[in-house]
Amino acid sequence: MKPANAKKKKIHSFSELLAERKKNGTIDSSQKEDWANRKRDWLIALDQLYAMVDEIVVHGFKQAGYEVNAQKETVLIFEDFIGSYNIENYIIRANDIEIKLIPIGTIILGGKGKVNLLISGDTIKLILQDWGKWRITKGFGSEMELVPFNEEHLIEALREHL
Amino acid sequence: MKNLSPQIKSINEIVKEWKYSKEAIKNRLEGDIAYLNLDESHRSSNLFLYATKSEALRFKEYFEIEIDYKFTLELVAAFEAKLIYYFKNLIKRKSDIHQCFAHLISNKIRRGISRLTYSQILLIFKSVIYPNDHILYSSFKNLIALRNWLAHGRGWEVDNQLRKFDFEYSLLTIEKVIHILPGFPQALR
Repeated sequence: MKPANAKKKKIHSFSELLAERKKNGTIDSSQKEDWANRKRDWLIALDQLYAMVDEIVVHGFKQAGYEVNAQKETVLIFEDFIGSYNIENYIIRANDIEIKLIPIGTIILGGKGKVNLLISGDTIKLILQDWGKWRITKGFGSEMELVPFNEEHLIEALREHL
Repeated sequence: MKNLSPQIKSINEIVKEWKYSKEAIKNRLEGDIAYLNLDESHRSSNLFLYATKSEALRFKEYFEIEIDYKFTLELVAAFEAKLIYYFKNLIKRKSDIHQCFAHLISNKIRRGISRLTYSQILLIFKSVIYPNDHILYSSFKNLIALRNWLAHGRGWEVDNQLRKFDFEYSLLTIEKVIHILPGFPQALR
């Protein structure tokens, strides 16, 4: 293994640096990943999550006669490899209940993305385990488990806060 | 382990302390929020005296993040001490990681005259981790950025990708780094 910045011959200009880079065939391994696609898929997955939340939570509140105000707000976030981009937080207010969905990012270990669901000052973590597979975290620390994001498990997670 | 300070906390000890603190604070805050509506004579010891429910909830949210930050700092600081011990005493001379250590780190540090720091450890990891797993390298680099920000009194503005680091994500990042370090002993965890 060659250290990333092992001693090399002296370089005086940027063009020399680029020429050497070409000669050595230096390719940043991060370029092998298609980060633009990753960002696109992440934003699609987020839309899918919000659609499921609409179907279960917003629709449920409305049916029960709550006065619902559901708003998306665009925020700018920054992630390594992707850079800055706009993303939407989702804030749902139903009478005195407030639920906030805050996307954390796609460059995470162990998954394709993460959203924090904030309710009553508590955070429920939603993990995009793989594309199209949203999961809800249950418990914390070593006892944490991931369960599918569906009506049954979402109700279970929200139960103590509603 | 020879010359290892017995005062360095294990990951398990820190996780336990985090869990107990988190649960204790959560229970206290939830209890106080539940009794917000009682009249004043019954709530003089309530943390949220004269607060509205939404103010109390915002405080709870803020406090939970603060607990995570405090234990993240403890976790990353303990891991720094363990990494220093690992690099000084445990890496095998012929291993790839030793080669990087020898190339990138000055003699003074290798001989223990100066102290090995996280910025030098990151240089080694850029060669060892980054080529194979850039997300892990990026997570670890950002965890160190968070540690520096916390350890230096939050004296500058940080970008919002550090929001990823609640205590559990910090722990996951360190566990993944340990997993790829050759010969990192269980006893040093």
